Amino acid sequence: MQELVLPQPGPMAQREWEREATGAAERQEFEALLSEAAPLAFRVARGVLRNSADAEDVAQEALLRAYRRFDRLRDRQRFRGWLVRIAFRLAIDRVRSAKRREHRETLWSQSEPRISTEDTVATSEFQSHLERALAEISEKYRLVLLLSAMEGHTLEEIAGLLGVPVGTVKSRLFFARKHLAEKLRCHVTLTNTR
Amino acid sequence: MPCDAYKHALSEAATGAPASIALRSHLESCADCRAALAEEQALYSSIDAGLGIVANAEVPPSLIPSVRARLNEHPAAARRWFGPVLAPLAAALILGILVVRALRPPVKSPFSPTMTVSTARPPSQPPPSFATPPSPRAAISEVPSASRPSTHPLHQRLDSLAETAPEVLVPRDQEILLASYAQQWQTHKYVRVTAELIPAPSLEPREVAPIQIAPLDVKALEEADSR
Repeated sequence: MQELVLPQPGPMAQREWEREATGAAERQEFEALLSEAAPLAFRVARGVLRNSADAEDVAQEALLRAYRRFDRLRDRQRFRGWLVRIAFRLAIDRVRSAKRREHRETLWSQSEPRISTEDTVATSEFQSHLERALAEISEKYRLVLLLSAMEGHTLEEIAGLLGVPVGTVKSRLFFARKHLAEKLRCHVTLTNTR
Repeated sequence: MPCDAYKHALSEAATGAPASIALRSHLESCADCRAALAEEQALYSSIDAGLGIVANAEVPPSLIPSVRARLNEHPAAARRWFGPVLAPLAAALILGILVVRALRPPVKSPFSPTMTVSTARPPSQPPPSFATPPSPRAAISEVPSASRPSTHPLHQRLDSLAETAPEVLVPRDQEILLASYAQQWQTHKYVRVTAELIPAPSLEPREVAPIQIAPLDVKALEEADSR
């Protein structure tokens, strides 16, 4: 009778299998978060860039970056806040690099970001003033404003997303809205008097 | 135009903050302030509505499929070798640097106590005593004033260095040379080292007395003894 001997996997193969299993589990976990978090990343980017196509690019980049560093995120409950910060930072960087590019290209100057036809139709005159005013206020105020207007986030949720106290969120929101109101007051009056 | 006294309170109330009793009672009687509050509230409503449009833009349906496709292009396993490989490499590198630095002999300071400026000994001074090395400042200042006339330029330098230079342990006969060395170092940042060599000792062959070997007296053994 012949004895059948099964080759035992070596330690390298064992480690490789473990690594693959961990990767697959992480991928599964990330996929579960993806459908919920992708709109958030897109909307944060859209709020900064005022352009849907650019915002989609930035959201994709933010999600990929989040996936590459997903194993470093110990507390998975903080994924949304983490992603918001990545998307916001990437969007701000894109705005800045676009400004630099515009500055370099002196053939024609485009003071406004690229706005697609659908965006143009969707935005009224006040809306365009509002978006311009929003682009001028500081980053920390802008992000709080966007998050407060997005998906009905409460103050506590925004505080959790940004990792700051609720009182900070409240004061930032107050000053940001006041700042916007001061910038837009004249446009409201003009619109009303027309 | 709203009343000046209530301008700030109106602005606060328009943001959604609760109005005070004084403001509420004032609003009942002042039509201008009521109009101003309504206008301000309309402004904030417009802002909130506009922010709602900005912040809740429709998500393109292609977003999630595109992300999934890009995730497949960049599998996470591809990046995982960095951590396990780079972390031990970095640790080994740091450890190696620390070991090399620990094993390297210490660089001698120009004012090191073991430094020898000159091996020549002035004939007038006694041989150096290392048994109880005096404190350098003390050594400099303890030199008897009789043997160190203050008019000598090197002694004057020595006195000034005793105040400013770091403490150095040297035998007494090398103080002056060290002072000169330190002065040059401080002024020029380089040193002209003048080495005085010890005259080579003259080696003369020693005379050895010839070896005296007494002649041996060998006698033949008797027959009985040899057996």
